[in-house]
Amino acid sequence: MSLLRYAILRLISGALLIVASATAIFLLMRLLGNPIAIALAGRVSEEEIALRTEAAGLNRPLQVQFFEYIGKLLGGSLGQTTLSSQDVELLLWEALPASLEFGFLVLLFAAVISTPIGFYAAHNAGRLRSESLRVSAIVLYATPIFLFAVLLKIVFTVWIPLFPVAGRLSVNSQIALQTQSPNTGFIFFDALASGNWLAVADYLIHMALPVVAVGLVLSASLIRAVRVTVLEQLTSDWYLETRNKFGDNRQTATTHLFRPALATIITSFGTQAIVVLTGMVFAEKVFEIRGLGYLLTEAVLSRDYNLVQGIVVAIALIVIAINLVTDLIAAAIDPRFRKLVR
Amino acid sequence: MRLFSNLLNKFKMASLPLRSGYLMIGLVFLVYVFGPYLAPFDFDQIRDDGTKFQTLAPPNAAHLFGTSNLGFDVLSRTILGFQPAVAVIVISVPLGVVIGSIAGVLAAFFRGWVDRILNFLADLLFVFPALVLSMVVSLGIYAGQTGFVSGVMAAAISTAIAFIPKYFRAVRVEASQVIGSGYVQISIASGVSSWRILAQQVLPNSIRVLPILISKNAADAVLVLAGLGFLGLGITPDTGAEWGYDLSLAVGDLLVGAWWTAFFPSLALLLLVLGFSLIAEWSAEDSLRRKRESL
Amino acid sequence: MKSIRPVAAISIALVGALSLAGCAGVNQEPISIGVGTYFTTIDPAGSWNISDQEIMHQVYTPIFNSLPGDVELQGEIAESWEFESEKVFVVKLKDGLTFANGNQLDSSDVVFSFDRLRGIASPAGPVGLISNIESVVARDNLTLEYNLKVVNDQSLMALLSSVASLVVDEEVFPAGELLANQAIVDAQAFSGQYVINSIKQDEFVSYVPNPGYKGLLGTAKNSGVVMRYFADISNLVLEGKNGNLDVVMGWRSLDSQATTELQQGGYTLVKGVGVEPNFLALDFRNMPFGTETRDADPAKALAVRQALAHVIDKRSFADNAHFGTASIATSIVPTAIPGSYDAMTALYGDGQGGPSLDRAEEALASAGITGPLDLEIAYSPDRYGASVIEQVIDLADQLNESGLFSVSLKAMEWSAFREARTNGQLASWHQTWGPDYTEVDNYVTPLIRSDLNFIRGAYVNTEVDALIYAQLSEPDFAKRSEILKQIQEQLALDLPAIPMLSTDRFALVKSGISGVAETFDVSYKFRLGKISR
Repeated sequence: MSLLRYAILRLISGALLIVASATAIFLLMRLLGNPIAIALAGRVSEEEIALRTEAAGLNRPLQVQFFEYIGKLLGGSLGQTTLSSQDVELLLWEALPASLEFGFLVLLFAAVISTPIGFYAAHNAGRLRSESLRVSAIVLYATPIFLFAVLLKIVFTVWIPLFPVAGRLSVNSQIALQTQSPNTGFIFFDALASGNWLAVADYLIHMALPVVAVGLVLSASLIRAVRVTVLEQLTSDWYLETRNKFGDNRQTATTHLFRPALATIITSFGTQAIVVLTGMVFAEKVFEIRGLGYLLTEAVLSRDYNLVQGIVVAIALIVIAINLVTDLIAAAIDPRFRKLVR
Repeated sequence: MRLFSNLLNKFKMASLPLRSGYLMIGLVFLVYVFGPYLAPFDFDQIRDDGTKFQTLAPPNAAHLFGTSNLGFDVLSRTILGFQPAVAVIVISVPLGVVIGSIAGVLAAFFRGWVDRILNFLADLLFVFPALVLSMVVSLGIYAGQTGFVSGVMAAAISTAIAFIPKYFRAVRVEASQVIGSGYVQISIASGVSSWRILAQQVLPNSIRVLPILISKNAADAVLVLAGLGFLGLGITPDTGAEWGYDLSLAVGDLLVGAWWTAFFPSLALLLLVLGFSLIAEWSAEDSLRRKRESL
Repeated sequence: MKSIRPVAAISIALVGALSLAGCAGVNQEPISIGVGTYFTTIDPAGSWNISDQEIMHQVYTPIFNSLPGDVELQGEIAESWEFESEKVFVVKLKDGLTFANGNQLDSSDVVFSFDRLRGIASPAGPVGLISNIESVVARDNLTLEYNLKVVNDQSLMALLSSVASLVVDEEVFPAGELLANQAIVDAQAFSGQYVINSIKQDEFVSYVPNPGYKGLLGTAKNSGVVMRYFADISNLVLEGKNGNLDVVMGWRSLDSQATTELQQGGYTLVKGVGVEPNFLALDFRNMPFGTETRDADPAKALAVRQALAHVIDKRSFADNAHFGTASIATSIVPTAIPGSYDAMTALYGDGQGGPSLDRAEEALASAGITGPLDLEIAYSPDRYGASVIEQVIDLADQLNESGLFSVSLKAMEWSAFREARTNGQLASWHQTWGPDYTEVDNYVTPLIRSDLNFIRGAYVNTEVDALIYAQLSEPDFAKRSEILKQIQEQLALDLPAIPMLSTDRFALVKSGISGVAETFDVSYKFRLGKISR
């Protein structure tokens, strides 16, 4: 179908998905209990919990609470945290830049590494080097990310102290950035915009280990995806025909190998977004990066119901958005990706 | 007896990575079954015959894998860690397979609106990372106290939910083909009840593709359980043996030079996950290769 | 739109001043301190959390203060002071005091701060400390009149040196609510030895010396301090091991292994004098033979408490769980506090501070108690750090080994623990108490006096209460000590709590850094200004 039609249909399905996700989260969490009970169980007496539940309006019929929830959501509000009555969206906005930058660097790193290696593996398919690459990719993929992150941390901050231990930026750079002009929370952007090269370098050094930890594991699956796609292309009849006609040159490769491979990588981003997010939750904990994953862990540990709910909705939104964007881009590049149901 | 010789044949024909996978899982199975007898101490035992264990002792004669910071025997906790891990797999896989396969078969058979709705629901489930789901589920199940059952259930349910869409899609594709095939069409034409067709003809033939997904499911389930433990949720050391939580404590030990509290649980975890991952990855390869070779 | 002018102005002035002064003894590099706890608010009306107090004491001024290492209180912003009458205390402020942003600091700010603390009445704040002060009135812009409820209140000056008396800028802080941390920093509403030039919640606080400070503490010996907060203790230790921290604060964070690691890495262990009581508390209602149990018997309950006092080996806790950072306590009032009296050593154990199993057995036997007694001891692992966890486990072991008790430990999350304690749901528990100010009254009144009774063990002794009131109003310290002696002797007989240790802060200091030992004095205040390279 045409790109435009696909785009419209995909957007509609995305919107529906968002509404459905918000509903599902609401239902699931209410299934587990009500906000007050979960946050305060074991901390205050049962009568107190019952009192506060009533006071918070949680005994009203579920539909009423649900519509109030959706209404607030459409207005951009995620409510107040159960434990300290702060605005949930404020906390999310504070934590989001850290994770977004982190995720961006991870994707960049993985893409840069996987593409050439994937091509190499495809061209040398069947030979020992390619097979051993595959095994290492599997081992890497099987390693729990938190294990890998801890290993990297111990090796490169303790045994060979090359990298900083935790955080996104050293204190001095943070102080410097705070007083300089753009202060969006996106450290990379802020530092570049104010010309503070020291801070840029500082940031990259701090993020090196976490990015590698998550990025390598992501690469493992990306390499496989690239390899498979390129192999398919290499052995497809019409490619061989094209090559015979036009010769084995760069243009052939770019148009007929690279573009489909690119489309695959991009859709892989979409499906792997979840893997990356999961990895980031661990990496943020190990390297004390105060992003969305870190916030989520803290929220669950302190049983702050509303905060957890807000973060999960945000995560769902992000995943849906990522998949939407990747699908659209892939569809733009390669017409074969324009089917609604895969 | 036939099952055993079947398995043996499969093993003989397998490639090296696949064999390694099978061996690993076999080992896991043995440790799971005999674990409680093999483990010299209980998972939260800190003394024997009145004498307290030394804390953070390196591997020695009394404690082959050393002791942890709290005085637990690492060997015992490593062995007993297989209990919750296998439990999660045993709960998560059937749950996901059953729901996903039935949904897939229904979608392929009835098509139209049923198909569209089920697809949408699958997309919905796809949105949520298993780990995040398990964190949320762990909130509610125990409401205040961590525990063995809650930790296992949180990981199992969320991994099942994460894999239902995958089973759904795989089975749906297979089922479509099966339904389009000759003998099923004949059954439909001759008026056999739909449910009978589905149960006896479509379903059994559509789940051939599942073993690979099941292996991935198993690996993921254990990873989610360990991840949950690493974050400090799920099974805490006083309610059970779980490698993830032990590993989070082991980071501090590594700083003071104690390697054994991190090494052995990691090995166990890797054994389990790698075993299933190898099986998942090389099963497809192998069957393709065998088909090519037999032509 | 943040106003960064005050901050910028001060930074420029500072850089200017520093470059003029050259390197004249003040090294350019700020001191970096790693902390394993976390801070919440720097608004003095909002918290009496020890970590928050640490910050507040650097940047705000109380009425009185003490020099590090000194016990005597002198005027910080006070020029002169006296008891005008039994219930009126008059203070005359120094002239010309200002906040870092240029606003004047005079008596109206003091009254404002006091009224604000009482008005906001935050449950997390130190409002409970000022309950003995009826009101504060400004007679003129330099004279203050404190109207008291207690005659000749001896704890008043100490109270006026604590976090409850910190003066805030009335032109910046709102009267009815707390002010956000960033807003306070932006407005530079500081009058203390330091100002905060940069703050990031849960990550760091950056201090630079306040050029306009003319108070008791004098000029800071360093060019600035950065306190870095770590949520994960292993990261704190790692940064220490890599030598990136000048000081690593160990209080309620580090265990013996981490400490040893850092010591091997070239850090020196420095500890405080021991001003935090660490004790085993018993609820007279629920303990074995307690008043609300089936076999209630006060005589037997007393025997149980005596047996505990005989058999507990405190040395073991000090040496092992607290690896030398704690001292043995012989009273609920730590030995380092003037007014403390040792009534326990002679009465219990082997008479020299060690345990005695024989006397414990004897105490139980003569009361007719046989067999191991079931005892549940509750504690809060998430609040007090690894050492306390080890201590409690050791305690349980000791009691079980003695054959006299069968102890089960109950770990409780902090808020649940506090709730259960307050509601009389526990039989016995371990507790550590951080003093608000280190004056002897702060140990007896809030902990023991039956209307406040922080221990909450349902212990009521009207004679002790009367003595507590008496010592608070006795201006002659010799007579006062005599009253305190009687109080502590009675406590040693009644045993509402069994004092085990006096703990304190401790830190690991890199070589070349000095001054930390001096600031770990009895005042329990951490003075950053003392630390230098």
